[in-house]
Amino acid sequence: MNDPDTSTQLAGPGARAALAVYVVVVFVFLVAPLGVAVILSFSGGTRLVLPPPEWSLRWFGDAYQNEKFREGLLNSTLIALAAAGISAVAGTAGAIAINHYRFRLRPMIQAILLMPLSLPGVALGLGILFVLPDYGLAPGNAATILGHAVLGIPYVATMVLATLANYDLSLEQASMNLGAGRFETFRRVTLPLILPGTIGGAVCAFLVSFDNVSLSLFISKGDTLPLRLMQHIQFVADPSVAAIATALIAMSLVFAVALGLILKQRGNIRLAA
Amino acid sequence: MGGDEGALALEIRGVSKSFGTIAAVRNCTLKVQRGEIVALLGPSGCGKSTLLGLIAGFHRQDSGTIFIDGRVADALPPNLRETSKVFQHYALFPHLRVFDNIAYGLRSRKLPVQEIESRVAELVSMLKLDGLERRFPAELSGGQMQRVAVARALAVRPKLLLLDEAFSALDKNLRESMQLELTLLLRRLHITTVHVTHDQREAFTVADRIAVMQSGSILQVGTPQDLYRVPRTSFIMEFLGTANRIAARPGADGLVVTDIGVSLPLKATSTVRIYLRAEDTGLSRSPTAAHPAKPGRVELATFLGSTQRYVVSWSGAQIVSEQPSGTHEPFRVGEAVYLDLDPARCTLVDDDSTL
Amino acid sequence: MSPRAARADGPTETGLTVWLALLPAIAVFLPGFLWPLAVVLRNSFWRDVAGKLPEPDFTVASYVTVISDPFYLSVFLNTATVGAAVTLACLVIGYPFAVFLAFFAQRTRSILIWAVYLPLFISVIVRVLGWIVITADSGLINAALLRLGLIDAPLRMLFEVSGMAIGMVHRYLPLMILPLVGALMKIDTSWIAAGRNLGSGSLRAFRTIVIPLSLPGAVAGCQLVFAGAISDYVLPMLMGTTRFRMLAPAIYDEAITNFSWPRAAAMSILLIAAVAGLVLASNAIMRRLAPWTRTL
Repeated sequence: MNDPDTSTQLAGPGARAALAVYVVVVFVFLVAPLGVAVILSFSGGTRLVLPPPEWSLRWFGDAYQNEKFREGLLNSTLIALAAAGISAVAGTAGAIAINHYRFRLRPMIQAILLMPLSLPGVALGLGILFVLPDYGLAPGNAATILGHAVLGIPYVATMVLATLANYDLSLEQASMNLGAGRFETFRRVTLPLILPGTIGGAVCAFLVSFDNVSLSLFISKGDTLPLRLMQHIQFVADPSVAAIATALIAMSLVFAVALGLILKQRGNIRLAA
Repeated sequence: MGGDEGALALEIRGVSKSFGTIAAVRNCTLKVQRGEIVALLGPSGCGKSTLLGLIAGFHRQDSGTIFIDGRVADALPPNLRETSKVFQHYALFPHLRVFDNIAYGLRSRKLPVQEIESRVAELVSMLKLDGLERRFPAELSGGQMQRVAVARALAVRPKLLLLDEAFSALDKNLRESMQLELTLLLRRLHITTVHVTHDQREAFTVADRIAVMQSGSILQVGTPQDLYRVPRTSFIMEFLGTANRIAARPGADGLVVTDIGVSLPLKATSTVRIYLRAEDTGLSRSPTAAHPAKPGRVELATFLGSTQRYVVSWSGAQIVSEQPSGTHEPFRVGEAVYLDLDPARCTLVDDDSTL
Repeated sequence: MSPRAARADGPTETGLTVWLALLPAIAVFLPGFLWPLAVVLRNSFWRDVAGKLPEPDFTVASYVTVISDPFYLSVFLNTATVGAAVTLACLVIGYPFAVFLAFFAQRTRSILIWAVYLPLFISVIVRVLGWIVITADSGLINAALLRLGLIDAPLRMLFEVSGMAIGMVHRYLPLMILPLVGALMKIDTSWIAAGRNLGSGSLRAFRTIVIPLSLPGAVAGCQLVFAGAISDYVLPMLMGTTRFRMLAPAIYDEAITNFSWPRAAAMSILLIAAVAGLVLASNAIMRRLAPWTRTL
């Protein structure tokens, strides 16, 4: 799709050079705050300013000892794992239903399944808060897992549907024709081939849950990591938040690289024959 | 455990299937003997693939019964029917190596590892796939993929082998050599095969008998010679080779072909249509004394290798004629030629009816 | 030689399997999405009782208040204005970036895509922290400007609308760039070659081929950015000011601080309606003005 020869037909060398400069500026814009946060975490000062008066690792220690941060980290991780797990199962199954079968309500179901992506989070948070007593729940981890699962399912479904777009349905016919029943076919043929989509979607769902503020505001006990960080920035405003930020960035990078490797490796085998 | 010894490998009785308002298969009946290779031949949309899907169990027919090896197959899901299908695009599992693709059905049947290995090895050598066992489908050529697909289908020793346009994805030379190779193999193994194709030449090459389909119905079943020589409908005649269609009236000595003037010693009571194969027509530069006729003009002369094809037209009629190359000096465009017909080769049809 | 992925032709034989597969999703969506939203709608029509739980009723009093009272009106206006401004900024900033990424970046493509994805992986709180350091009165921008002598006193950005807007543009820029890149990369360069071949200069080729064909991506990006910006809670709270109230914090205040659930519900319904209306309207307009996008 991107033949270099034809691209030169779109803009002369002068235009391309100017564009390249522009791109660098935007690149810096996108990455700068992250870099700033990381640098700040090594500051020895007590305020959110750069350059720091001195360099130090004290805020890492401080953040580590902060009870509220530790609690927040634990809660957010648990919630995100649970929500991602639920999203992975529900989103994958839903995507398969939409992709393989034709049924009357399919367009509507597909639209509903993807709706939470564009839904204002505060509205959903408010709604779940309203109905919690109906389920015998109070704001807390269980309620938060439910809300985050709703957010995560569209991500998983979208990724699995994208994977299924390259998926040859006759493979399942072939499998059954050779003697495998429905379940066995799913286990031996379908699942291995859509696993990259499921895993990618689950990682997205994990990150969405881990980072979520608008739902957790209403339906958690205020003890998720983002909420704790927000409170800290608003009321204390010292670089310990930056230390957590650096840790989170490192974790996300590890995630991203691992994800890329997994997808690439399975992607090589995935090419449809 | 199968039916009794004399049972048909496959019997389809009065099977129909519609998708919504579209009738894909209408009241089809067919009998296939053990070890026979039968082709379902027809243009796209004629229902042959649907019929194959019904045999394999991927669709349920609306009416009629399907017997596989003497037993009713209707209630059986696709994985229990003991039919093996080779798909048009092979449907090889991209995440499994050649060995595991071939072994797939055997693993489903939970056969012991020893037996799986020996069967796969047997098929690998039979289908000339030696050395390719560890490869993935993406690393194979088209012909190799097809052979793996066939090996996979044969590994489970099916009662019926179903081929769904299995050669159409190959280019011409490969296609023809694979057709021969596979047919020889299937005959040697005595495997009952139903072969779906739209290619007349392919059907003639591989099949013992052919069922010609159109618009969901089986029009005629027979050997290639039967269908070619004695087609039951004009559709079959035209589908299986180049057919000419000319009108003729009863005249003093028999029939007179309108516009061309050739007389034929055949009887008819009213105007008829004559169907005639391109290779059953004769052309000459001088009129044959026995049949006075008007000359026609050569519009098109094409050299096809083993034959010469001519399109000759008169004021109201046109004939396609094929003559073997090398037996005559080729006619040129614009030349006047006379038509010579063999009455024994003419098939007459009353104007209003089908053949 | 790869087979076209195909939908199952004909209806499935076992309709039950479909609903079985949808069961987990339904089991989550029913209690977690559909019922809550229905209750929000219902509660918006209930009677607001000062300081206590609302009482079942059917009244549009909350809607009336929320639409007519100048305080709430200012909240809607603020939010809509910021949303539009941020969307426009993201479109203008993001489009050339996306064009470069789609057509000109050979070796740099992975780094650039990475730079777009990375912020999405990182918590928004982290990004806000960075912006706080950059835009504060004693932050990096002001320090640089003061040092260069371009200004005498620090520019107030943080805890002002401008700072909040910058943070929002940063947050939502990837959501504009990604759909744009997707749409641009679908453009077959042979079309551009054809356009040039038929006599177009490069600018005209760009205007008449690239821009129209990128429309679905641009519309999708605008939808995502606008919907995100008007529903945003974090940025107004951490980088905005109480003098310029935004909708999401206002909903939270209404519900939790004022304990006025019907009003909060009414505001939420209006917010949802705005997002839904925008998406539907922009899709319809795009289909009307650009009929070729129906096939893209």
